[in-house]
Amino acid sequence: MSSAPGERQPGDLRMSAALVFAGGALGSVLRLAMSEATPNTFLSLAVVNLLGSLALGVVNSHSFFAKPSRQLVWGAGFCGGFTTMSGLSLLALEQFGVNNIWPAFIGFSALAGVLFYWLGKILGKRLSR
Amino acid sequence: MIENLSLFALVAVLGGLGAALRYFFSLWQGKLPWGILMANILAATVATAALFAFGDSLASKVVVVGFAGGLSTFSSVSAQNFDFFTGGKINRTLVNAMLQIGLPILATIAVAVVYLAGIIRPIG
Repeated sequence: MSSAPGERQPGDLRMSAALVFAGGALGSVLRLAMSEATPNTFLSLAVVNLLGSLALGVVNSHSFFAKPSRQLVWGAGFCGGFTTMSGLSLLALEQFGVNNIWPAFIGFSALAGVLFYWLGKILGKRLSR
Repeated sequence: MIENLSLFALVAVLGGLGAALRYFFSLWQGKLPWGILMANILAATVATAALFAFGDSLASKVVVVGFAGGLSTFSSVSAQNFDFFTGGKINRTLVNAMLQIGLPILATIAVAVVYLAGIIRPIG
């Protein structure tokens, strides 16, 4: 979540959106490459969402990413674009009545996501020194 | 090869646009991150509609993987839940997790029902 900003100017907002756009484009392309590389939707969703949560933990704790512009590109942009929630919703639709492991998988993802974010924060702090 | 290239280029542009739109949504915060919740629900709605409207095509892939994937986020939900949990707000953690995951799924089911019931006809 963003750190307390001062007065927000319209120009700042446009600039911020542009930075998020750049990171989001990169994250989305990597997520596409991931899903093209593996035919298993469960596997590709687990990889992007857990790695993305880990990466956000690093972004939110490593000193390199303390700069607001880097937060926008790599946090909201890259990690947000790399991970997906709509992919989980479509997984539920696709697997409904086919493979009923999906509710457990989604529950596991939610829990593991928080753990991976936590690991990322620890990693980011360690690497900052 | 060329089709693959245009798929990647379109996913980059629409993914970036989705992410930028999510950034504007994310400014709406309160006791829960309402803006991100809205972005996740909207993304699931659009993705499901595109799947039914365009079938297995380049258009649906670009909207689903690009726009909806860029608009929705899982990592920031993990971060929110971590912050709520470590801040001792256990109820808020559980409510946020259930809403952020459950409401997009409900949106997907609602759109699927609308299409499958023939209320809206697929294009083409």
